[in-house]
Amino acid sequence: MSRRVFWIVAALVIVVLLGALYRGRYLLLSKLGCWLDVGGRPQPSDYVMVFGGSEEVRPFVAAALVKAGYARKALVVKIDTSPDENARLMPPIHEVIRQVLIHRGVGPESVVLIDRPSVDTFGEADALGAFLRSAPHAQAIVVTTHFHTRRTRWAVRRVMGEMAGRVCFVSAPSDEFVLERWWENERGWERITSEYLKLAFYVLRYSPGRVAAVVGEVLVIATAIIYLWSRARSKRALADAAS
Amino acid sequence: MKLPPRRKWVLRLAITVVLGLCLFLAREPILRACGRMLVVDEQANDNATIRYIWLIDAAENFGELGAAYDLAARLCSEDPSRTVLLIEAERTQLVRAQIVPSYETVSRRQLELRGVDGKAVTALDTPMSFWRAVRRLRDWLDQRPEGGVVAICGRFRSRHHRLVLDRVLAPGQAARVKLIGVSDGRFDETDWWKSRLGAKEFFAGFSSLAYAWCHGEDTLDPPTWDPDKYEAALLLGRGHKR
Repeated sequence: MSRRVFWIVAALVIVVLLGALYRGRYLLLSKLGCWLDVGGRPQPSDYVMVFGGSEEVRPFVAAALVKAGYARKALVVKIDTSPDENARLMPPIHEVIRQVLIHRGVGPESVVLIDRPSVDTFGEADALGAFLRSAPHAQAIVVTTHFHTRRTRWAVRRVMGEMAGRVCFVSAPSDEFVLERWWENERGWERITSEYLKLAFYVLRYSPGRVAAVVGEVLVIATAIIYLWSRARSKRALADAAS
Repeated sequence: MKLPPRRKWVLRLAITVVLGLCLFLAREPILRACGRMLVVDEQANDNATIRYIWLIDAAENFGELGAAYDLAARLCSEDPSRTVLLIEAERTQLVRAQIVPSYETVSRRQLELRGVDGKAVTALDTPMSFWRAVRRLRDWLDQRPEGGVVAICGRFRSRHHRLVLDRVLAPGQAARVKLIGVSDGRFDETDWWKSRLGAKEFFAGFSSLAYAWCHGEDTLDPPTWDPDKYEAALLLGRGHKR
């Protein structure tokens, strides 16, 4: 195959691929959003833990789970908030979550505050792991927004290892956007794109060994391909020169 | 001169390494330039024409922007006849349940703490997005043809807000609105990459600007979610997808 034919075929393949991607863009985008959601049916457990953020929905879902008998108690992790002046007017996030649970009918004695201040998902997963280590037979439901469940599950598995089997994940819906059509709403766009970035960041930050292994494998394979390709090219050039 | 294939690869590798090194060494100016791309800072030429002060982003950050209230209070103290405008997002479940105060309550309190008279504050009703808030402002300004507006927002949202203002308002009206992006105090465009919050805000600003640029206004409203219905569905075993 001459070089020109090769490039024409390659350009055609790229055009066809791009066309297919364009035609199937809605399906693809929808799958991209839904891939982040790994929540399942709630299993009867001892505790339900609300991860911080989206207080308009997550604590309401947790309260519903307690009231429906899926969990006996609710866990709330203390969120480390910065001491800005806003704190004078707004209650801290963990207090908001606690208030919602009580407002929705969960008894104050059934709300357990884990005093292990955290600032992010990994910190909250760490706090849950520490709590469950102190209660060896307890099971827990984690409630978080649908697009956040994959990263949360990743963090919980990373922190808790084998013990992560005692945790199940329940997706809370979002009051900001529809997951299957996230690109039609600015907030959905912002949330999903940043979630992918955060997921990548988590893998790099908390699994550097595994990332280094994958990068190493890719580099070795790429080097081998480039080497074989350049060797074939030099052989062809020598053969052309000889003929 | 034609190089043999192996030397060609060595040359390409060397160029890539040098380029990578240059990018690494120049990372701070590059990151600063990226931050500046998101910032609009339009100081009004003639402060005397300012009649209204619109506190925009407090809705986004819910009162975290102390600097925005400081600036609004300073502008009010320069001329007490000025009006502070709040366009409040829809009242949320938490506000309705009185677990957190509304944006209007927080903002009024913040301004009061800084010596702004409550009578100088006007609150307009409930948009669901910034685009709708700007339309609400357009209607409001239609009835008030005189006087300029200073709109105060978060620094990394200011380019996005300028874009929306220019798209929604008529050119004459858009020119009446000057945007000032205020910094959170913990980071700005010169050091946003050094803190987690700065990186998050930078990405959010960049993402919303890209969306407004390419897509424009939302084509789908946020869904309504009712906790009572959710609870009832859960009791019937239909609350979850699987």
